[in-house]
Amino acid sequence: MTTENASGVAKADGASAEQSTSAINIPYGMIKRIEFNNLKKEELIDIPHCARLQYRLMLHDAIIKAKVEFVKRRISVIYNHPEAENKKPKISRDELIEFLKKEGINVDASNIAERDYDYVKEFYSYAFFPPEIRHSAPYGWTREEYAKIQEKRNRKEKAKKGMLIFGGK
Amino acid sequence: MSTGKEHVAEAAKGPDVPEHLKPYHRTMEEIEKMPVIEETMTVCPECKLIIKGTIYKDGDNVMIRKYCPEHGWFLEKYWEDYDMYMKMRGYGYNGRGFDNPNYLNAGENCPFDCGICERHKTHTGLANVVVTNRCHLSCWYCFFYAKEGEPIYEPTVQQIRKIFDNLRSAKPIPANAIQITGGEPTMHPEIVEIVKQAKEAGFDQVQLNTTGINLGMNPDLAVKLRKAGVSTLYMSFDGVSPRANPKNHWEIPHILDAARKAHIGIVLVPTVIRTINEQELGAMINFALDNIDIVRAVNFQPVSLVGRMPTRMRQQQRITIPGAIKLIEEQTHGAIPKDAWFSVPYVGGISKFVEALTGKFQYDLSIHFACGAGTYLFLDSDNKIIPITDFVDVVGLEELLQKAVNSMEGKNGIQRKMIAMKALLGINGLINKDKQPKSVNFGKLLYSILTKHDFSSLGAFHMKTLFLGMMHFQDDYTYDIHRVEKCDIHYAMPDGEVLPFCTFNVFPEVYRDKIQRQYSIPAEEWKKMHPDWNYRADKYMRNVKLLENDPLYQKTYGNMIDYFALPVNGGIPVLDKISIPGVSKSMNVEKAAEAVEVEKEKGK
Repeated sequence: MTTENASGVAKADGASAEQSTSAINIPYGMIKRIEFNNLKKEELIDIPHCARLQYRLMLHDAIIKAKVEFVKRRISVIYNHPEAENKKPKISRDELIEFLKKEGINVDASNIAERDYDYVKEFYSYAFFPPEIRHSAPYGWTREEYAKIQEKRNRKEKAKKGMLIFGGK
Repeated sequence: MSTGKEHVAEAAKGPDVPEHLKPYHRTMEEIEKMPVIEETMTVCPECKLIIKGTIYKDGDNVMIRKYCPEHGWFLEKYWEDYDMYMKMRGYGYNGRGFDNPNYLNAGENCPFDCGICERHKTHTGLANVVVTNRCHLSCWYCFFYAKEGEPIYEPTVQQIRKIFDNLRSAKPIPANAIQITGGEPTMHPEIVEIVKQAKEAGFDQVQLNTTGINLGMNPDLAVKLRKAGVSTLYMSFDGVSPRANPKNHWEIPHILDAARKAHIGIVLVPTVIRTINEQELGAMINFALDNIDIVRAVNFQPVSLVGRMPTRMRQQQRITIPGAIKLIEEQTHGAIPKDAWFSVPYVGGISKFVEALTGKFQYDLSIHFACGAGTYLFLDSDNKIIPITDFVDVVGLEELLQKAVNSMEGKNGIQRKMIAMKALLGINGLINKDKQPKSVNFGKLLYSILTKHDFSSLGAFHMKTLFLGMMHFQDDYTYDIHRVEKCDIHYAMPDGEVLPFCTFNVFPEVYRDKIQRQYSIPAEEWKKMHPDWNYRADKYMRNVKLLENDPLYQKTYGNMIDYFALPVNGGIPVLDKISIPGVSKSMNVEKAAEAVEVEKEKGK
């Protein structure tokens, strides 16, 4: 199973759903994730302007995360919609579109994709268990050399454990 | 259309500009002719557009200039000593970030993609965890605490433990040092349990970022915290005099006393602001030396001018790392020279050496060279202050270790050990034994760090020295994305995100305040949950007269030895300009003379 994090990049699911959300005061449950696709390059201008638009979107308390991608001509927003069951600030889809319009971004209704977004499963749990995307090696070692010494260490460790099981020292 | 150059040129017309402010008062034509050192990316302080920043040389200053198409030109001091900038720059290197970052977007919209992303280049060196935003003080310049009626952010122990475990699960190098912070962290009713949880989670070093007041007034709490695992108090200390340090000047004697009894080390943390406390840097070091049994370090923080402020005030208050270092040299009359300081990534040479030798990951202080600097002082048995550079060829040591690392590449374990042995033997040639402190065998200490490479070796090293540090956090005007992507002081949040200090605090509206608000409880609701609580009762009320008349106050400030007034350190006092109620200015100099006599007697 895969989930998408705030950046909209699909990744392996890091963990199962959070145990008890109330015990750790997780503020959101089911919220929304909206994508505005095929935006006009001339409206997005360039990467620095996209970054600033992302900043401006994030200024809204009701927007949990926003990502404005110049190359993909896409804006994705995780937001707390008016029907969501929580007491936090809300913003509607129309208000979002209106805000983007004020920022010079005109969205086409046919290029909008919206879905329910489980904050606990997709955002919160993921953030606490992100998967490894690479394997660094200590300075002065290549990854291959390091993998070999790791293997040796693991063997030694296993042997040690084995000795302990059989009562050795 | 305005090019934005006009207002800079306008500023240049001002009469009688003081020397240190001249870089702000040149025409753009003059500025554009200055030698460029490097280019970076930065933000417009007004609209947060990501724009190009040019770091350039202006006489002895290193400046940053940037141009926003909407808001024109911005000039700011980046580093107040060109030679020192170039020296520190030589130690910069790229470290390793996270193998399991939270965001896989290469940080194209950096710094608005934080959380932390795959682009980040340094692991968490010091993790900050905010446990409450309540504070017993209401300092005018602070924006870290909840004002009356504002939501209360106070995560539960369970939430905090989750944050700790998250930090410990970072790969390849988990966070090993944690700073529990606030607000005032001791106001969290379960602070002792939180510290225990931090130790259980596996942190070696647990710091408490505190005003110290609650510990000074309640020494039992200090003992409980020590037993739970607090290693260090990271304590605000803006000066020796009450004028420079109105925050906790009167309570400091009690705090030191409580820490002594509880055996907790203290790091004094002065925020340095020109026109406010920059004249007391030497005195603060003297104060630390006078309490070296308990004070481990002084970590100066040149002010980060976060938020909007009038240009003139910003220019006058701005101080950078070399600015503070030069003032220390001046105020200590050369006893602590500017050459004694090295940038933080200098120590990367040591971690690289140990990694190349052992094949095990080490703590890697690969931060940007402009973010921090440090040096070590030794207080010898005759009260002589000896900077480490007086007896160790620090430059040679780094070269020796780097050479060994290069030679170890591609070799097997035995060959690596042979190379390391040869390097370790070479260290002796870099230590001037005639000049090293009589009470210290530095070669042995260093050998122990390089061979045992653990926190206990480092701890033993710190016990005999006073570490002087500089940490300059960024603001909108000095912002440099190259710096933030190498930051190793991170905030871990309740939503699982990990944020570099200078995104967390420079853009609080989208990081710090935003996330804390999400996990906060409105003040009215907090009141319902805690019927006995009220905002005003949280606040600390000081009885100045009572504290000034306390024997501990006189003992701490009145019995101070002015180490710099001793002939062995040049004989020029640093405390003579400091005014402390009930303490005569000449008194500390007299104490210094007494100390000399005592040493003479000991000698006989």
